[in-house]
Amino acid sequence: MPIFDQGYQHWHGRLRSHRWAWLAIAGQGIRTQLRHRWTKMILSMAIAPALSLAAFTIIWGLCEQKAALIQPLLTLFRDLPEVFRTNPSEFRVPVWTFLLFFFFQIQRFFSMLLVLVVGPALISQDLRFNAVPLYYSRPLTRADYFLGKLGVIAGFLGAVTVLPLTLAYLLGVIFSADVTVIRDTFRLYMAGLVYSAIIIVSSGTLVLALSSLSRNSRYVGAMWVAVWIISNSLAEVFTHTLKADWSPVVSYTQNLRRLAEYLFDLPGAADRLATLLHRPPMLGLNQLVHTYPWYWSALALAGLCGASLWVLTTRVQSLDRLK
Amino acid sequence: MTPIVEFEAVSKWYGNVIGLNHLTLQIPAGVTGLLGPNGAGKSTLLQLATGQLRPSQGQVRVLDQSTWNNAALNRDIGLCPEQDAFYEWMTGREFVHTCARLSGLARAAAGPQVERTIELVGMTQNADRAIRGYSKGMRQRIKLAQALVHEPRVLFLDEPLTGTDPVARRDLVEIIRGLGRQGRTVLVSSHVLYEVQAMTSTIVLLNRGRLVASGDVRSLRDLIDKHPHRIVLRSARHRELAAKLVSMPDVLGMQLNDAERSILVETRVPDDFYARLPELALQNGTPIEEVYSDDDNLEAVFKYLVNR
Repeated sequence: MPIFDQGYQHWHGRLRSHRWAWLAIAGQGIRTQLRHRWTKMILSMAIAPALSLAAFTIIWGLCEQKAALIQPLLTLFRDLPEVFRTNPSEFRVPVWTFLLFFFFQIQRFFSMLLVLVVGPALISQDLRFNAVPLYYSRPLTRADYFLGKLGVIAGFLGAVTVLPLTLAYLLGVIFSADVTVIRDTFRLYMAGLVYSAIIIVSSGTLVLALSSLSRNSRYVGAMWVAVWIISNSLAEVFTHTLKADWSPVVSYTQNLRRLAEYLFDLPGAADRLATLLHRPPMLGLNQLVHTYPWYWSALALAGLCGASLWVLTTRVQSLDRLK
Repeated sequence: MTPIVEFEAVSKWYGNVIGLNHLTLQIPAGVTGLLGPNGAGKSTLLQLATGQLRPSQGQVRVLDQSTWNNAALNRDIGLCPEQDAFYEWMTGREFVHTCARLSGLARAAAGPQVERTIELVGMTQNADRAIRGYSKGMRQRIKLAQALVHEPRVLFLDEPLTGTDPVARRDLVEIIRGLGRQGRTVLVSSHVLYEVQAMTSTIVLLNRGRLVASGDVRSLRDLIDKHPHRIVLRSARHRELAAKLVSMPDVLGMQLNDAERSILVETRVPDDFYARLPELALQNGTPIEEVYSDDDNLEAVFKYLVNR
């Protein structure tokens, strides 16, 4: 009769490549943040604009179909031009553009709030709890560490931007029951994805850089508020005092907005709407659009990302830097 | 024997302060004790060996690979740091699981492996409590678990017994000895000689960033035995006791402390001296209330080894 070893049973499997290690860091970070009341509260508030976008895309899809279901609703809008009733698909691109643009305007605010709640602790807490050696004594590179931390931001911001965008787009396409919708609006969907990526990468790298500057996440939160609100206020002051075109470039959120205008081609949509309605200029839409070149904002955000990466790589190098 | 950990003329500076000074050292498989007083450079040595610090000079190799900027090597290395490095809100199980996933264990493999490791360090019953409520001994056990969870070939344990109660200490010592018996390389630092002696007979002695001695602990004991040991005896009739002690050939000197009713004895043969004490205490009713060694600490040993 064999006698089996009752001692410690060793694991003899193979460890995975570090290529996916960032996922473990991101997953752990997301789980941790989801325990916080404020995170859950902001996430649930951010659902409202997402639901609104989905509702509007469905309504618009039914409008395009001239569905009987939607006719009682249209009678409420007596001032609607005739072309809107006879050939609503002519308005497809401007309507989708404005829907997505205003959706992202609102979600940008919630994104900033989410970053404020989720971001400050990501690295500062590792510094505070001496947890950095735990990562660096594992088969992880610095890039894995940063990517994992960025993954936490991406997870939350993606949940309030990419996810509702994709769901709303699918619902819009399904309810319009017209394949040409994809041809006309896929560019806008891609613009939404690119814009979401810009928000995630720029705010993620920025808040991680700020987080690496202090062991106290409250200070980091204050720095984030300063970047978000004070830079915006500064841009307003410059706009009113200097009256220079470039004034919004000093504001982080104004730069994001300028890129949204470019990516969704807001001026093009406004022109198209004006042409269709024969009422140029209408609704003050031209005032929505900044006049300075979009690439100034792109350069400003790229510079901010570059500076953030530089701060990150110099602050979180090894124990030499942490001491 | 093939060395597993090699330091070749390694120096490490922190600004003007030197952490390690031109250290050349080879550590074989099995358990090796890293001894030295506070500030000797033990933690620096371990951080260099795990690639967390870059040597200012020289080369550090583990398993024949350079440690600096070599994340892949960490698959074979486990580190139990001296400082608590936890997310306090996590439970012990969550913490070890997170470390297992960071080490590259797939989700399916991590669960059972975490259970085994937690059981090995005797934390099964407390694994679902938040770390913030752990005692020092529990923290040390869970730190050891996170270092072991990915089955590393080489383990670096920085003061793993600090702050532990006798039961935890005995358990941890047994675990570490077991790891050595399994053929793993374990470098365990401590500033308490007897703790290290309980785990291994192979030791490395550091002082002020320099290598003082390395090898078998018995050779160190021999060195120490040449140094006069200082033993304190407390007795109600200490002067009478001193009179008897002075006649012993191995007693080199004595100092009387009337206030504490004690005698400080210097001897070169402590084992013989201790063996004669019971008989001495029984003779003519000179009871000995307390006996302790005045220099049974590593600081004294180093003072002797460095200044001999």
